Amino acid sequence: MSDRKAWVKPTITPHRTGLSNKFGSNHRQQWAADIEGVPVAELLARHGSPLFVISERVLRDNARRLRRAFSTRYPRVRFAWSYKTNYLGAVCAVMHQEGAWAEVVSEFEYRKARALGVPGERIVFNGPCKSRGALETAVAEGALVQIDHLDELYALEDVARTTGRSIPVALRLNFDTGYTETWSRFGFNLESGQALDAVRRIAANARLRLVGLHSHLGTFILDTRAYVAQINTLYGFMEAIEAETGCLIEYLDIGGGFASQNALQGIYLPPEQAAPSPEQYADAICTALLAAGQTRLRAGKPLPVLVLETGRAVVDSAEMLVTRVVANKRLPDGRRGVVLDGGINLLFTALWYNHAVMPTRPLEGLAEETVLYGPLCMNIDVMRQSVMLPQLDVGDSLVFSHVGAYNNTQWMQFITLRPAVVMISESGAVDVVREAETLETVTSPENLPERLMELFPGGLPD
Amino acid sequence: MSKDALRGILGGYANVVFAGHPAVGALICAATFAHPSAGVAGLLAAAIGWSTARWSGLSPLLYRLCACNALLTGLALGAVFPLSLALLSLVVTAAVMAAWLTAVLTDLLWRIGRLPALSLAFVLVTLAVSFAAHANLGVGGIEAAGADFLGQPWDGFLTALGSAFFSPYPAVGLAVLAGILVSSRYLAILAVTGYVFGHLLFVFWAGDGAEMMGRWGGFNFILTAMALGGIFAVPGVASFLAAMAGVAVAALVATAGFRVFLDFGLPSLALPFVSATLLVLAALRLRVADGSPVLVLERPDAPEKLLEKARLARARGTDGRAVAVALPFFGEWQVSQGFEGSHTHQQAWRHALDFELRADGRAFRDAGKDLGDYYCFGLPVLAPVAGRVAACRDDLPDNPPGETELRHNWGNYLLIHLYGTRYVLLAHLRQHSLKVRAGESVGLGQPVAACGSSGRSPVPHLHLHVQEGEALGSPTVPFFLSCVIVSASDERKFRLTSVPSSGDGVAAPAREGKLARALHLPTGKKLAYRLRAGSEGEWRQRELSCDTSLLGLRYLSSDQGARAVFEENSTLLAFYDRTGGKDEFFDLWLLAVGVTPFGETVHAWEDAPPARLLPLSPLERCAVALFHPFGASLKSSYRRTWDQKAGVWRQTGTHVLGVAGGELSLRTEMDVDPARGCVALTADMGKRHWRAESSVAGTDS
Repeated sequence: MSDRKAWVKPTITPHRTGLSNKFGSNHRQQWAADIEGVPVAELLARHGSPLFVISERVLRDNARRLRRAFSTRYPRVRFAWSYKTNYLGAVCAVMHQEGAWAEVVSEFEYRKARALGVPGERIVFNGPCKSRGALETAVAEGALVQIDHLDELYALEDVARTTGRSIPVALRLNFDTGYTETWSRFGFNLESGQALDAVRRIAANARLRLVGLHSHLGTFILDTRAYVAQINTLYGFMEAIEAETGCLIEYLDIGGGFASQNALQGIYLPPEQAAPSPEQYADAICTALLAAGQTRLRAGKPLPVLVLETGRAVVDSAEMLVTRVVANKRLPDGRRGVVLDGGINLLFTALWYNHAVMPTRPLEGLAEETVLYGPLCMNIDVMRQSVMLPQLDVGDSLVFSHVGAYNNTQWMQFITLRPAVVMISESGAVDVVREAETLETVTSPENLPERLMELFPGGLPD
Repeated sequence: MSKDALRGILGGYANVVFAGHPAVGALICAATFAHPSAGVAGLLAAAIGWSTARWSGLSPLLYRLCACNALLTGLALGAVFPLSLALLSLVVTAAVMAAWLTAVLTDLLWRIGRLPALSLAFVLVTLAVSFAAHANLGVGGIEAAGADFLGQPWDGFLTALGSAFFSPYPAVGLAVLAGILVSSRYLAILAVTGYVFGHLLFVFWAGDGAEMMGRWGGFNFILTAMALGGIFAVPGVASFLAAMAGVAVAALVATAGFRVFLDFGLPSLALPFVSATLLVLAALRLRVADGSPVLVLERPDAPEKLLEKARLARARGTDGRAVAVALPFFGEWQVSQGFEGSHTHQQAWRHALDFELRADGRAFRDAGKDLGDYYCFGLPVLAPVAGRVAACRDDLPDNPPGETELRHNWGNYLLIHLYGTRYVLLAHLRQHSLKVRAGESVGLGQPVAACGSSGRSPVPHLHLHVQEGEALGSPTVPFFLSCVIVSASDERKFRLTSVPSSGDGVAAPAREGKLARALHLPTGKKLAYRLRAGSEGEWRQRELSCDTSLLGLRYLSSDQGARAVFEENSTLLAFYDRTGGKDEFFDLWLLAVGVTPFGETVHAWEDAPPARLLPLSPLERCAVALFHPFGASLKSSYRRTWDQKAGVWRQTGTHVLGVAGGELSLRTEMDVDPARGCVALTADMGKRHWRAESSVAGTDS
C-alpha cells in the first residue's frame, strides 16, 4: 500500500487571461515554526495570542551594525534612542546598554527616560510641546533642549533669567533639500531668515549658549542624497553663524528617517532593493561630513559630533506579532478572507506597510489571493489587503514581521485588550517585558460616580 | 665679585668631573690649593675665563665651559712652572685664549655632529702656551706624594682623580670623589671601573715602568668612562660597554702619548679623554638605525636624571626607539596579523600590522564571496602620521576574495615621508580611492584613501608599517600606536602606547573636547588655590602659573620657584622635567595630573613619574636613596570617573614605590570641572593628608 496523501480542500481559482504578473505567484513554501529557536506554539501556549515577540539578538545586532557603519566612517558619532519609536522599558534599556542617549519628545517620555535611570545630561529633548515645568526640569537636570519655536526660546530665556543658569541649547531647523517634503511646521525656517533671527537672539543672550543644530527630514527616506543635501545646508549655516556670532557648534543632529526593511505600500521594488543599508546611509552621510569638515579642521576647529536619532531602522526588524486564525471566509469577489485575532489596533503600521506574513507550518495547496482581517468590527481593520497564501486552518498562527517601530507606542486599547510582549534573550530565555492587559488595566483608572453604581435600579430591562 | 660670577667660576671646577653644583666646585677649588702655585693660577684663570666669556658677550650657556677650560689651562701652567709675574701674565693670556677657543670649538663641533667641546680647548691652548713658557720660565714641576694615604690600590685611583686638577695627591682625589658622590653615585662607579680598566691596559701596553705615569694620566680613563657611560648617553649595559670601549681607546692614546712625552717632553694632558670620547660619540652618531646606547648630546645630564627621563619616556612611548603612529581608521578594527606574524610579517618586514573589521568573529556578512561583503572594504583610511606623500598608486584592481596578485605585492599603496629616512606605508588600498597625490602634504588623521584588497591580499584588509628608506618594501622598523583603546579577551583598556597582537581590537578613544577645554593651560593662565596640610590648620594661598620659555617650551611654575615643562596636544596633557626648588604642593599637583589623556571614554592608564616627586620625610628620603641609589620611578595608576552629582571628572592616582620589601604609597585625587579645570586636589600618604581648593576661578591675564 502506498502512503496516503493528505487531503486538501479543493480551491476554485479563476483563470485571468490578458493580465501579466511580473513576479508570478508565490510558489515557495515559506514557513518558520519558531522564533529565535523558541517554538511559536510554545510561546502562544504560555503567553496567549496575539503576542508581540522581540528578539534581543536582532535588536542588538541592528544597533551595533548601525554604530559600526557610522563609527568606522566618522570619528565623532552619537546615537540617541528615539523613545517614541518604541519606549518599552526593555527596548530602551537594550539601546542604552548599546551606548545610546535618550531622545524624547514629551514630558511623559522625558520622565520615562529618567525613571529608567538615564541621567538628564544624556537626554535630548525634542518636540513642539514642552511645558514651562518640563523646560525647568530639563534645564535643572542638564538635558539638551532642542528649541522648536520662538515661544519656547522666550520661555528658556526666562528660565535662564530666573534660575541664573547658563543653558546650552540647540535649534531645530527646517529647509528644503529638494528630495523630501519639507516638514516646515517643526523648527525654524532657514530660507525665510527665521533661523538666523533665532541664532542672533540666542547670541545676544549671555546665559544661552548655542551648541547644536538639529534637523529631521522626515520618515522612510529612501534616497541617501537627501541627507547629503541636508548636511551641506546645515554645514553652511553652521559656518555662517559661527563666523557671525562667534559661537561654537558642537554637534549636528540629523534626526532619523532611515528606512527599515519593511515594504511600504505603493512602492514597487521589494524593500531589500528599495531601502538603503545602514552602510549606504553611513557612506553618504559621513563622506559629506568629512568633505565639509576638511576646511574646518584646517581652521583648527573640532569636527562637529554627528547625532543620529535612528529609531525605525534599528527596532523594526527586531519585533514580530504572532496572531491566530479565527475564521476563514469566501468573499463575494472570490477572494478568500481570513479573520485573525490581532488587528490594526495593535499593528498601526499595517495602514502603510505590507508586513511580511509567515505561517508557522508548511501549508498545503495552492496559494491564492487572501485578505487578512483583524478582529475589530471596523471596516478599516485590514492587516493585509492582499497576500498569496494557501488554505489556512482555524487555530493556525501567522507571524507578522518588522513590527518593532511605532506599534508598541501607537497601539490602542480599542475593542480588544492589548496583548503581552515578550523578549527572547540572546541565550534563548523568554521574558515577559509587558504583561497582557486585563480588565483591571482598563477599569482601574476609571471612577464610577456613586449614583451610577446601581445599573438596573428599575430591575433588569425586558 | 657678583654671585653669578662666583657660581660660574665654581661651576667651572665642578664641570671638570661633570658635577653640577657650585658647592662641589668650591670643595674641589679648595683642594687644588694643595699645590699653591697651581691653585692660584687655576683660580685666576677660571675667573679670567668666565669674565672673558661674560664680557665678550658670548652665550651664557658657554660661561661655565669657558671657565672650566681656562681653569685647567691655569692649573696646568701653575703646576709645571714656578709662580712669577711672567707666569701670571701668561696664565691671563692663556685663559682668554682658552675661553675664546672653547666658544669656537663648541660651535664647530656642534655643527659637525652635535659633539661636545669637552676640554679640547684646554689641551690645545696648554700645549701652545707651554712652548712659549719653556722659552724663559724655569720648569718647576709637581712633586709626587710621599707617604701612603689610604694604601694601594685606592691611592692610585685617588691620585688619578686629583691629577684631573693637576694635584696628583690622594687627599685631593678624595675631595673630588666626594664631590662626584654628592652629585651622582653612578658616576662614581663609572669613575672607579674606568680607572681600573684603563690603568690595567695602559700598564699592560706601556710596561711596568709607566705605572706612575699611568696614575697621573689616569683621570683620562675616569673622565672617558663618566662621559660615555652616564653623561652623553642614557645609562645602561650598552652605554657601559661603549664607555669601556672608549676607555680602551683612551688607554691606547695615553700609551702613545707616554712615548711622545719620553721622547719630546710633550704631555698628552687630557688628549686621551677628549679624543676617545669624541671618537666614540661621533661614531655612534653616524648610526642609521636607532638603538642602544641612546645618545643625549642635546641634553647631557647626570646619569640618574637621564635614567629618570628614560623611564618616563619609556612609559609614555617617547624614548625614540620606536615611531609613534595614530590609528589609520575610524572606529574599532581588529588586528589580523601583528608583529612577527605567522603569514607575512617576518624577517625584514616583521614590524607591521594588518587590520580588518570583524563582527561576531567574522570579517564578512553573508557568504563572504563578494568584496562588498567584507566589513572593512571601502572604509576610509586615514593618515596615521603627518608628513608628505613620497609615492602612491591606486590603479590596481581589487582581488576577488581568496585571490592574490603577487607581482604587485603591496597593491595600491600610499607611502608617507615622516622624517629623515622614516617612511610610513599603507598598503592594499582600494582601486581609485586615493584622495592625495605624490608631493602633497597630509595631516594627521586626514582621510587619504579607502580600504581595499589589491596586491598580495586574499581578503580586504589594511597593512601598516614604518620603514627605513624610500624604496617600496624597505626593511621595517619598530613603531607603536599611541593613545588607543585595546580590546583583548574581554578587557578594554586605554594604552598610551601599544603594539597590539593578532586578534586584539583597537580603537581611538572618543574625544568630545570637553576635557581638553577644561584642562587647557594657555600661557598667562594662573591657577590659584588655598592649601591645607592635615585636616585642620591654616589655609595657605598658593598660585601656579603657565608660561612659555624662550625656546618655546611651555611650563607651569609655582610661586615658590618650582617648575615643570608640559606638552599639550590634541590627545593629552603631559608634564615632565621638574626643576627648581622644593615645593610639596607643586609635586602633588604634578603627580595628580601627570599625563592626562583627553578621551572622555578613557577610564584608566599608567605612568612612571620620578620618585623624587613624592612628599617624603627626611627619614623616608634616606631609605629611598639607600634602596634606589640610581634614582627610581613610581608605578602610577590613574582612574577617572565622571561624578554626576558634583559635575566634575574625578581623576585618582595611586603612586607606589617599593622600598625595602615594603612600599610607599601616595593617593592623589584631582577634580576637573568642565568649565574651571583643576578645581580641587586631595592627597593622602599614610596618615598625612593634603587638600587644595581652587580659590579663584582660573583667570586669564
